[in-house]
Amino acid sequence: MKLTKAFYSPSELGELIDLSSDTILNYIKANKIFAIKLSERTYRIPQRAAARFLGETVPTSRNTKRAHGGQAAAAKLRRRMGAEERATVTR
Amino acid sequence: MTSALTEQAFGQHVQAMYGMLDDIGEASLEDVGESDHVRVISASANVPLDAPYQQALFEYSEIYEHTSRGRWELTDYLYEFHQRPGNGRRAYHDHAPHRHHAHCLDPRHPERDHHYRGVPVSVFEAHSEFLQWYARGEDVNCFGLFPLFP
Repeated sequence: MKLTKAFYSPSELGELIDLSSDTILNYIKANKIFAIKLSERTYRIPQRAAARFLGETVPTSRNTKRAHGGQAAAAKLRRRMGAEERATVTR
Repeated sequence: MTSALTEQAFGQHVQAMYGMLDDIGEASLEDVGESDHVRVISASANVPLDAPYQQALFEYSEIYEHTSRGRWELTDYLYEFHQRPGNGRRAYHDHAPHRHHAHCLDPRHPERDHHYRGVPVSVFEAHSEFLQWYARGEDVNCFGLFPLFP
């Protein structure tokens, strides 16, 4: 199933698989579907979460670890943060 | 707020960061310096948006130092949310010289200084706010923020 929208409401996702919006809401409240709560009964389900619920393959995230290099990585990040501050001061 | 973390708590923190980004998009997380005195976590995700935007970027970086008690203490952070195309931006930073502060760029007023006063926030608090901007699909605005340089 091709998901073309960035977000789906519970009713929109339900329509795709013939389930009621209440059933989808129950899945959200049971943490079986990730959704962003905008108000008491308004949720937005990101495309990736909808795809996972529908059993589709989603691109794999990367989680990497390096034992060394912390000092250099911190210096690089601090340079970036400092550069933004300097740019502001000299505007 | 995150206080100094044990090795186990640090691992849980990193997994939670990874998980919350992986919920919304193809995420990338790098943990650098486990065996060093300084350790950096950099995580990001580019996620699709409906028009008028095409993409949102979530980017979170944290610098930790190893304490004499064997814990990891958060010393600097950068939590960023961007809407693209356009330059809508919300961010929370903690770094020298201003320490805690916020950044905000309302694409309708790009000429305004983007530095605002801020309070300490955790990456999870920042992410929770950014998710609202992301899911509402509206232009970022700077309502409720006070300029750092009035």
